[in-house]
Amino acid sequence: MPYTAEISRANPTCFVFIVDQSGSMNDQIGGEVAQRKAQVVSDAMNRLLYELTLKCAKEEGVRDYFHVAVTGYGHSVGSAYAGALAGRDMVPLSEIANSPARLEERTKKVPDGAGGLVEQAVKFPVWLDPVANGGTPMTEALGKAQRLVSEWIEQHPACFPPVVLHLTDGESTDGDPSQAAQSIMSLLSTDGNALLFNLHVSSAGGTPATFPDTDARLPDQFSRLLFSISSSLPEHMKAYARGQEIVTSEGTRGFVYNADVSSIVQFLDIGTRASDLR
Amino acid sequence: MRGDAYVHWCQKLGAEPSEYEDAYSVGAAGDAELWSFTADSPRLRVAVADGATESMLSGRWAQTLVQSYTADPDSPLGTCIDRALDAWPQLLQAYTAEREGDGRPIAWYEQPGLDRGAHATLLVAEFHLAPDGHSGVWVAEAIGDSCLFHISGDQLQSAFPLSGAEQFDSSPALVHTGLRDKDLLDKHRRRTSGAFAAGDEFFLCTDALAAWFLAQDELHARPWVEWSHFSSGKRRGVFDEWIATERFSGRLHNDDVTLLRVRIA
Repeated sequence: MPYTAEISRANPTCFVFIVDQSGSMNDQIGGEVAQRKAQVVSDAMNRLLYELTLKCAKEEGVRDYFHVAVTGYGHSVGSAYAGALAGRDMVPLSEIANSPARLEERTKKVPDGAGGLVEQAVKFPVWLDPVANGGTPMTEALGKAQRLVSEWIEQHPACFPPVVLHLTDGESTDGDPSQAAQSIMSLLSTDGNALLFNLHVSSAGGTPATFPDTDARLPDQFSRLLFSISSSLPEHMKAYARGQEIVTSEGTRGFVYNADVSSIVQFLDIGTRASDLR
Repeated sequence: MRGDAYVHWCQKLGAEPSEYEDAYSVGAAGDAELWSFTADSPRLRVAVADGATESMLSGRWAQTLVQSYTADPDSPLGTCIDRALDAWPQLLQAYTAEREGDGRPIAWYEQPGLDRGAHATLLVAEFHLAPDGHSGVWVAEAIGDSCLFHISGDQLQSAFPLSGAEQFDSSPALVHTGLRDKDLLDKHRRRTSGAFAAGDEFFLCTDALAAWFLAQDELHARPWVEWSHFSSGKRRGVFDEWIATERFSGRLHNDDVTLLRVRIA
């Protein structure tokens, strides 16, 4: 049965994130507070790496259940890590945990024990800064991700299939990315095909969508193209999506439009989940 | 009639023994691997727990829970859990101080997990020999998917709290160090009881072994026969070899495993 391989230090898998850093990412998108797309995407990336790190953190350190590459594309295609990891492609998660470019102080609201909320200072690591310049060589970036995944599978043939997550505003300047996307999704470990998910950050408006099963309500050709090059969610991931109150069906795909994508970290099983009683 | 308890355990393949996050406790001494009860000392408490992978200090929490149950044979389970919950803040403080002392202060990626608390399943059982010395009763309670199997007359008499291999998933009910809602705990708490006689056996185990057992039972393979070979602590190697074989075959999920066997003779 596909997508059942253990994810462990003895049999790790990889994430490849592809981040659009083209000039158009300077544009703002709406919501309650207008933000640059580049900021939205770098925040989403830092949040993903943070969630992934916390998921694998144990007393002796962060366990290398995952190795992670972050490929940026804009004026060039290459590693998007900032700080000590700059220039690196595939990095073990423990090294990522120990090498953020910086730790920022942020605040979060936590229960005060008396029914209210109180602000608490927390450390938030930053591995990626917002970048926006140059064209949008999406096809080249997907090709780079394909090579990274292919090399990984060659070295880890029995791994849980690698997950590629592409974050973009959707306007490729080096041709139709469909073929490059198919090349990623056709890569195969003994446990199934590599998965390509897309997050579309767009100023085209419309309703945010998380793992839709149709492109009928997506606002433009770019979002529909990205939907078409997104993998179907494997059954166990659909079950986790349903647990997050997302409606799924046969056609549900790994595509998110203007919404939080960090939930995908929870789609991957490394052992017993730390869930509170409900 | 007498009862003997044995424990076997093994960490997940690819992990260090120090990373084993299950826990067990037998009798008031807690860490004994062989324990007996007889007409002179007719009660025995045993417990097994499984610390959640995605949880910091879950092994220590599992250990705290099982010891709290077996250390005080007169307290009901709810009281034992309360005692463990009360003890946790101090244990956490001691851990933080220990890390400071070792020159390894808590890292940024550990703090959210420590703030969130630890999680573990819990399975407990108590055995009472009747005054006549020829029979007895047992009671078990569980939160989560660690399981007890009662074998009598070469038959599986009772599988508790789960009874089918398909019932296991990665989100079992867990006792959380931050638990304050006792109604919620009661909602997830399962209880069963029964009688035992000479020749009966009980197996208490964490989820990977429990799922294996039930899958084999569904194939009518009498899995308890296989486990009877592990009866003596002196033959520990047999257990380790069997675990390695079953993991390699794919029949046994790669996880920490704990098997606590109580044999009535």
